[in-house]
Amino acid sequence: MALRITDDCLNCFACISDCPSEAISEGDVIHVIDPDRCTECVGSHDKPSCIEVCPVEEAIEWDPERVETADMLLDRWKTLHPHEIPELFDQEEKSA
Amino acid sequence: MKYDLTVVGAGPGGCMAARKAARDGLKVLIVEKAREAGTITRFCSRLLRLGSGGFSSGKPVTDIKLHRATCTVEIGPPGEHIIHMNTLPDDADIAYSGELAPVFNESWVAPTGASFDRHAGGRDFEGFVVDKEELLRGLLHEAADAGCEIRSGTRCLAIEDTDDSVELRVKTGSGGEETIRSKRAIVSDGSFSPLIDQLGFNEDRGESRGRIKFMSFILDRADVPFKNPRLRCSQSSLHSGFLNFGPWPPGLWEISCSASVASPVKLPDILNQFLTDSAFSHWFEGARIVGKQACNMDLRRPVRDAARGNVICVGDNAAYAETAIKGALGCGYKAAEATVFALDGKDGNGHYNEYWTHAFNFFSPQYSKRSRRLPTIPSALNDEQTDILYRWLKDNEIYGPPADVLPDNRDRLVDELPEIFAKFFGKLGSGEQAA
Repeated sequence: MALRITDDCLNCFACISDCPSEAISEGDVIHVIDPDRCTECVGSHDKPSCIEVCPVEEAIEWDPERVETADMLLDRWKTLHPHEIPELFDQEEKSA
Repeated sequence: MKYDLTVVGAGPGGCMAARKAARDGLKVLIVEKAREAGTITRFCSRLLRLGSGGFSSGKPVTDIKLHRATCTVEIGPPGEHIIHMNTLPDDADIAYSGELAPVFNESWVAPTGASFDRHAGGRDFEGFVVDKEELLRGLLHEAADAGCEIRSGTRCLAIEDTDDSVELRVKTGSGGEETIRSKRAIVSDGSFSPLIDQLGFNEDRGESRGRIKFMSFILDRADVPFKNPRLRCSQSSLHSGFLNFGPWPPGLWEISCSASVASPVKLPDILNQFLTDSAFSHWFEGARIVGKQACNMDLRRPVRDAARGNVICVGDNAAYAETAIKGALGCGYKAAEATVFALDGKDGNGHYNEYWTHAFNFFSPQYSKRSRRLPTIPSALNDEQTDILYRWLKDNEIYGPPADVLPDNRDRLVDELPEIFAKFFGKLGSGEQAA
């Protein structure tokens, strides 16, 4: 699943500069995640960095409309980060 | 080259730099990531402290005498106040049209209501909480009048200092990217700056001591038994950090708390419980939450030389939170002045670095000794111990922030409150800084 930002977002920018795939931007009202750039941090970190740093806690959630496998996410990462080597982690806890 | 100077970030430092540089005849561009420059969505301090105390240590240190960053507020009719930077020329004066909420004293409050104060008598004048957006808009307006170009909704992704210019890769609100070149840059993009990291300014700062998340609620009503307060409340059974309370112009109140990003603590839950189910919740009966703010902050030692090559980094990014508003304003002014010097072929960087290392307390050996990391009161003491400590401080007429009063009274503490002494000094270095 890609991630999405909920109405609880306070536009504090904590997540934006941390996103390894530049998937987050300032939207019309709240920050938005581009699902075509979000890899849930597969390829970069063991947990999604935006969820890790968000001070509001409930403002970033898994998007049930965008269910994707770890392989699909890693392929996206490789497309977004050509010539780079992905960091691989055990992702089994990601949807907890 | 189209610009002499690009300023990154329209906070107090950036706006002051842009205004000064534009008035001195430079071709200036200021870029701001928020859609509208002069708005603040992040949690940030609004307290314009007038004195020279550093952020966490109230005691002046004696080995730094040169140009201490202090300021004076000349109060005029509503909307016509002047903020004067005491160590800077008159052209650093700021016409401030917003509201001023005076803060007399700062008090640390236990869940029982026991408290001790920063100043004797409880009425010493600490400063004003300002409407920061009004302050920034005023500065931006004057910068624009002096010819500064303002680009909002423009986020800086990368910076490169080449020998004869600075290149900034920016992303605009529409998602497009472009490169902006200027002769010099002032980077005033706040705590957790990816840009100064790219420039290598973080390399001699040591490892980050961690990343902190902050959150605040803005309230329309509070019934607090303190006059013009700035309170550091704590209830360690609720949260291991302070719960800060104070005025938030115009006429509102702010409560805030923080925690390590690495901790599972949920700040909204803490704040809600503080309001509805804590030792302090009777202050907030009938209060309504009218706004919320949040941010992250990276804890690092100050950058030693903040001016290098063609870049000067200013304010929070070079010393997280420690410069506060007045310090950032001073930094912005001096950085612009240094930029003019550098473009005239003089040693602008030396000029700025001299100011940077002498305007604040944090490079003083005494300061670093004083602010050796003690655990915070709510992380070290339970509710009952907090009460005992605060009553002891009050009864003994000891005033000042914990970072000062605890080390200063070590000998008495160890004799009279040995159990509490051990909580702070028995395990030095294992916790966060007190205050």
